[in-house]
Amino acid sequence: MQETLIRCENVSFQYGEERDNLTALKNIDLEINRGEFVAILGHNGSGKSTLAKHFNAVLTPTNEGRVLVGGIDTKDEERVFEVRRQVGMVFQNPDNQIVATVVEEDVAFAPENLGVEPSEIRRRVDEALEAVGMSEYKKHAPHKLSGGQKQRVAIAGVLAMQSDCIVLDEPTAMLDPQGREQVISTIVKLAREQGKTVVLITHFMEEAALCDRVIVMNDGQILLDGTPKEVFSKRAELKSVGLSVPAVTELCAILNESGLDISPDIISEEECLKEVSRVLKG
Amino acid sequence: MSIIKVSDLTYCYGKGTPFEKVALDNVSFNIEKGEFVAIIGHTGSGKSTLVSHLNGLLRADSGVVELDGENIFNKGYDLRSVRFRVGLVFQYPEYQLFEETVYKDIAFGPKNMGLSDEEVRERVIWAAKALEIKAELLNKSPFELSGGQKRRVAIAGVIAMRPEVLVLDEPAAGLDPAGRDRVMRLITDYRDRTGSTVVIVSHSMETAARYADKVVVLNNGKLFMCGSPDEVFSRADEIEKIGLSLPPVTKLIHSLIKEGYDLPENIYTAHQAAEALLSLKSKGGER
Amino acid sequence: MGDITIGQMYPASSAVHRLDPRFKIVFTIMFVVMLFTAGSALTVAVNAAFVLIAYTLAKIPLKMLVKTLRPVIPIVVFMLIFNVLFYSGETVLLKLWIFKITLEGLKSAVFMVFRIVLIVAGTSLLTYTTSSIELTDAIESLLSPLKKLKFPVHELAMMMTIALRFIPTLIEETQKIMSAQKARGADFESGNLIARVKALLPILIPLFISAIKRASELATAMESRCYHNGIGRTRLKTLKSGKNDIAALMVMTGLLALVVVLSMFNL
Repeated sequence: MQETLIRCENVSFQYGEERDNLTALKNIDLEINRGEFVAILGHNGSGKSTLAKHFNAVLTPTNEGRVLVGGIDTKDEERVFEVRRQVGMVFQNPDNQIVATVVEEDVAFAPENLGVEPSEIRRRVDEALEAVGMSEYKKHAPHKLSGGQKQRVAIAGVLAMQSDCIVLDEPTAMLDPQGREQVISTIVKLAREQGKTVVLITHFMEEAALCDRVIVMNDGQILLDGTPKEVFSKRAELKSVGLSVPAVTELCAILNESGLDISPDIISEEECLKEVSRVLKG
Repeated sequence: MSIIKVSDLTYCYGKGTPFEKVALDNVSFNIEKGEFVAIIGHTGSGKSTLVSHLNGLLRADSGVVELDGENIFNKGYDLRSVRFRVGLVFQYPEYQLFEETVYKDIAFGPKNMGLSDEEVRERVIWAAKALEIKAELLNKSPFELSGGQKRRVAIAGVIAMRPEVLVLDEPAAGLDPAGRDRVMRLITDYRDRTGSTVVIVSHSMETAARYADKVVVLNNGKLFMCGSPDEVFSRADEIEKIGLSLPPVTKLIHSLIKEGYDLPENIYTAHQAAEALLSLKSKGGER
Repeated sequence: MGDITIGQMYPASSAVHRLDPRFKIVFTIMFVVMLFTAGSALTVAVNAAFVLIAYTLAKIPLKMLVKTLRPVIPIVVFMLIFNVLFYSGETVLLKLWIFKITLEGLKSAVFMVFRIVLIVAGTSLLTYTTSSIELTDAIESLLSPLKKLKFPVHELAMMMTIALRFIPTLIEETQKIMSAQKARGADFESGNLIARVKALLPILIPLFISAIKRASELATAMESRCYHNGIGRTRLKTLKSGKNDIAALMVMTGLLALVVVLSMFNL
């Protein structure tokens, strides 16, 4: 079951050549297994986006380190499209990743590039739009959709490529709360119901709390790596790198420090309500 | 005394075409001098259209915007002067940066006001300081800065005009948690120091609850609620009905109130909640 | 905002929408030829009838047509005045200072207006009923013989698609930047020409910077979706012509022949 999909071995990356203060990644070792739902947290400039771009060979390590995706070295230029097909990417700005002027034609873009048969493209496009709940918009012009809808179209574009893994680079940063909700529930559905491997880069703690595993980046290195409960119980450490914990976690931690018998590693609102009710009754 | 008085404001996009859409529908409210106002609503509720009226960028189809008792839409009223008195910071304002240096960019507004070089200089330095922009950054190109720095430079460019009213549309959008906190802290500091009126447009009830004296809630172009955060949050159910979400901690406390616990409604942060729960517990936690 | 209709498809399910885009491009060229051949009231009327019937068949409401024509009103008005005032004709109707308004001038003006309106309406129908991807596919297909001459047909088509996709986005962006600079007291309305051109810099620079940023992000996104210069590329919708296309071609050829013959007899 624990099959490694993405393996980073001693990955360093430097933007530009001469200035070493632009080192974005420093000797990263990391494994992401098939079917995992992983969040990567970190403040702006912590290297999280740079790391994500290594997962589909948009960037490759500038040192001797390497990234293997399904066993393929991303530095192998011959097989770069095999890597990109396996690991699909969704970016932050919904406007700058939609190529076509009709929703369904945008979703078809990747399979078209891969030379898939037209009837098969049709099937994949319909299926992908269904999976993100955008079927009724398939003939619409993308620029008239809301941000949340655009991001779901972008996700459908990756699904139509039949990737094993979806990497989302701050997909909700530019969205309003409703759009964020739409996109997150779509992502959760893909991870939980369709068994996709999902890597979600975000700086919303509540979103990270939904994942199986949280990786915290700081200064080009991995600072923390564990379950959401493990990571969010390190409040002080997170604050020192400009991050926070979900509000309910903060609340339970304060109550715990004040001597109440409440577990300090609560991460969801439901859990929190249950715990607080229990303590109030007790 | 009200510095801005909005009465019966109505505005349609594409008026007279088959694509007419009412963006604001009879909106009225006041902004008092020195007040911190939050305008809340989801996308398409009309909040951005509303703030573009406050500095005269858009002209209402009907209704009045009074600045210091004078209708800015009156004939002969100098609309350009309104832009200096009501400073508007748009969403993602870093996209407006264009000058060679940070200094020149911040100076753009004050220069347009026709101030002397000396006055411009004084204001740029003052605004940069208010936004914690280090002196050595002033001679750099704005395009070399980080996202958070660019945001602060763009805000400084508006503050440098020393507007009586500062309006900011989602000033913290897209920033990381530390960036968000920093921008909000700088805005509140600025307000505390200068006593100027501040209006923030946001999707987030959390921002409203934490900073505002008055909350204006818009829905479908209509004024849905207007009052102090406590007044507005006491009607939490109605707010959730129009698709705005409450801060998670407020939601928790309201659920507990529904279960019969005696807790105050106006709780927005983890610290407030902890305090309230601890005091309830010490009273014995009676239902 | 988003009011720009040129280049945007009007989604509907109609026989015209379903025509092969390659045929539609050819029809549009035929229509332009037909319109410029028309020199009489009768032949212009045939063109007008063609446009109206085509819009009806395409299920495009006339208010869309009105919206399309709005931007050309200034040109129309200018042409109208120009023709009325400066056309030298025989039958003088009215004398105004150095201008004389003649019957011929009026006629010529009316023809001109009809032509402009019809050409805008007729060619817009192509973009209303054809998605830009279909359009670029069709152009790619029509130009494909040039590939043998090493002409970058696919790249050209891709460029067109992207341009069409980003026109509305960049227009919206321009409006936003303009508002933001106005809010800082920028003045685009007063001053001499040089001052006004200078006043555009605060809009142009951010716009270019943003366009470049968008371009680099889009390139990364396209690469991530396995784009590699159209080598081995297939399409969701393959271009297929059928009975309807041939039928439409016959009708179109017939109409063109009619207009040509009528014009030959000066009718």
